[in-house]
Amino acid sequence: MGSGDMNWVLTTLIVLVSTAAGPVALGGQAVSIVVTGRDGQPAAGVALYLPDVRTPTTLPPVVVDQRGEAFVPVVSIVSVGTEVQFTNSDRTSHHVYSFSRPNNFELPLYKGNGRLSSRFAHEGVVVLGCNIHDSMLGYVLVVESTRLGITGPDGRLTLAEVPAGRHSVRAWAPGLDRENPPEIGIVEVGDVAPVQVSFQLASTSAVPAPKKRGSLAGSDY
Amino acid sequence: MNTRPGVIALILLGLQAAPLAAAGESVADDDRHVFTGAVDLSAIDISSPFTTWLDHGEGKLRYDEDDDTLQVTRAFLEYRGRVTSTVVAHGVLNIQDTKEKSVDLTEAFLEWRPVPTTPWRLRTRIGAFYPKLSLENVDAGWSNAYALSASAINTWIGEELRTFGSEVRVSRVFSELPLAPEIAFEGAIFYGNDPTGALLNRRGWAIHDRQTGITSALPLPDASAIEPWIPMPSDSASFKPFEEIDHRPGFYGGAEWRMGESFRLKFFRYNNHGDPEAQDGSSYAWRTRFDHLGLQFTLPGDIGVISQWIDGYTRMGPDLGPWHVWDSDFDARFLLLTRAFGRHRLTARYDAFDVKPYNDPEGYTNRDQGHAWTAGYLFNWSERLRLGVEYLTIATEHCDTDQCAWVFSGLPRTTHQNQVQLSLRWQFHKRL
Repeated sequence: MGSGDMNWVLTTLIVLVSTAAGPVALGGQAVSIVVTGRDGQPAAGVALYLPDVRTPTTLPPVVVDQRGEAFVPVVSIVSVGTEVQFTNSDRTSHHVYSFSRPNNFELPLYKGNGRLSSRFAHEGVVVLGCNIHDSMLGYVLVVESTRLGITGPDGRLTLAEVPAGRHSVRAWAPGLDRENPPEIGIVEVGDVAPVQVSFQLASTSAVPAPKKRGSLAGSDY
Repeated sequence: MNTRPGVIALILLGLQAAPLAAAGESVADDDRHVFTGAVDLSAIDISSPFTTWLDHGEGKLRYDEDDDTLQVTRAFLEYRGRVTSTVVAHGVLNIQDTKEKSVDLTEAFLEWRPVPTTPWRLRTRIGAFYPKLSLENVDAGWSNAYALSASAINTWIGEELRTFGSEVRVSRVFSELPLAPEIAFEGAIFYGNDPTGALLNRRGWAIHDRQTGITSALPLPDASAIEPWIPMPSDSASFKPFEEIDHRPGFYGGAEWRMGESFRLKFFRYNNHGDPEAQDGSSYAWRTRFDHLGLQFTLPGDIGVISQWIDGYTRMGPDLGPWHVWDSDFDARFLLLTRAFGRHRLTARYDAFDVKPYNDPEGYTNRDQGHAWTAGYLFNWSERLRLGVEYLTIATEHCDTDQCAWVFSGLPRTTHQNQVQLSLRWQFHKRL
């Protein structure tokens, strides 16, 4: 995934919704959403969720890794109460924290600690930092919804077991309204034919590119 | 090449090898102690009419034509250790075995990094440390990341500037925006650093890679290169730049706007608040003040641009009304372009500098006005070895007219000092 892919402008989004072929899963259908930027490039790393689908489900833990002194992925999304595992793939220690009340927390990820878990009890964006590496910055969007995920490098997110009906789709990336992530469209589940919808967003956004070593050295001082 | 650096290198080698033998990369490592060390071996060729300032001469380089040999120019060992989850101990042991020999600490401080509870971060340092001024010396041990020798400004910071006190820095990242711009404010109160400015006033600017240890002394020229008609105190062949003489605290403050390493803009104001008339035995306090501006950004094509600018004055001795007995204004600036190509790096730098007496009767005084060009290549051969080559040329204009003391003593108004340096750095990084 090149940095060019990351620097898309989220002014125009195209959400492509199609019902999956094959056996229908219990309690709903798989829905595949493709998010595209105005330039036609896939919009990767964007958090999407269906706010009105809150069916109690046990969701697998979400992993936020520390790799190359960066949060990977930069943006994560979890349902309230879902376990978030913070792992450290670096040789250096990390000390992950967030001051985002009421989800503020602190986890010392010193070498050898393996993984540490956290659960967020409140909706909202949790801004992540590392107290050892001040340049590290990440985000976890916490929502009540249980149908959620992050778009992949191809801008695609597939949600399983979406109940039939009309559902709002909301999106968040750094720079978008964190108090009220914008609705990017409606999906109708139940139709046999694929549905394609395009949307317009009021604000622009870009997911931060992964830290790249350029000609200017990182500063120890 | 004499023997002591070899012994030091062996000690450093042993230190980095021992834990490898003992534990390797154990999962139980908790990264509590981090050691970074290096030994610099250099072959230097100099073309200069002057004896180096380190031998009380007028030369701006660390060596002179008598030193065209292989030298261990520096060895250092930097330690960073976690005292608690938010307190880190830092220390740099610096070994210089040529000219003014010294085995001394260049920094020793504790840093407190409380876990932020608001978007504002607080960072405090207490002890002996460099103010965060240099945009070149950003590697371990305050090493230059771009060239072998530092700009005139950062050479001087390495020579005469150190904080012995406490510093508070608050910063905030505007995390809602994609490139995460950060604003930071810092301030410090410090003791020591009273003779700061003496070397600048008497020798002028220099360009090299030498750093002064926190208890070390520096030589002074036999006669002031700037104000030669004022007799120097007879016992001032050397001085300790970080001594406390007047028992008055100095202070500095700064503000920075940055977006990672890709853009930094920093303003900084320094005042050692020295009492120009204070004296302690053969040590003298200087009043040294300056403003500093630093700028760093990336051009298209990933060309890094670094620039710093400094403007201030330094004065000492009885107050004569409009000026003090020794009283000079100084300023300097540089522009550095750098491009990394994988493990290779090319750097070019232009320096301009000036020191002139505040009381200048129509160009009859000496001054230290000049410029320098530096071109360098660094190659990270392996994790352990770095090769470097650098060409440096300095041109100095010593007076505005042919009526100054410099010309009367038979020296040309403009002089040139050139240096070619080949460097091999052996380095290690070890976590325990």
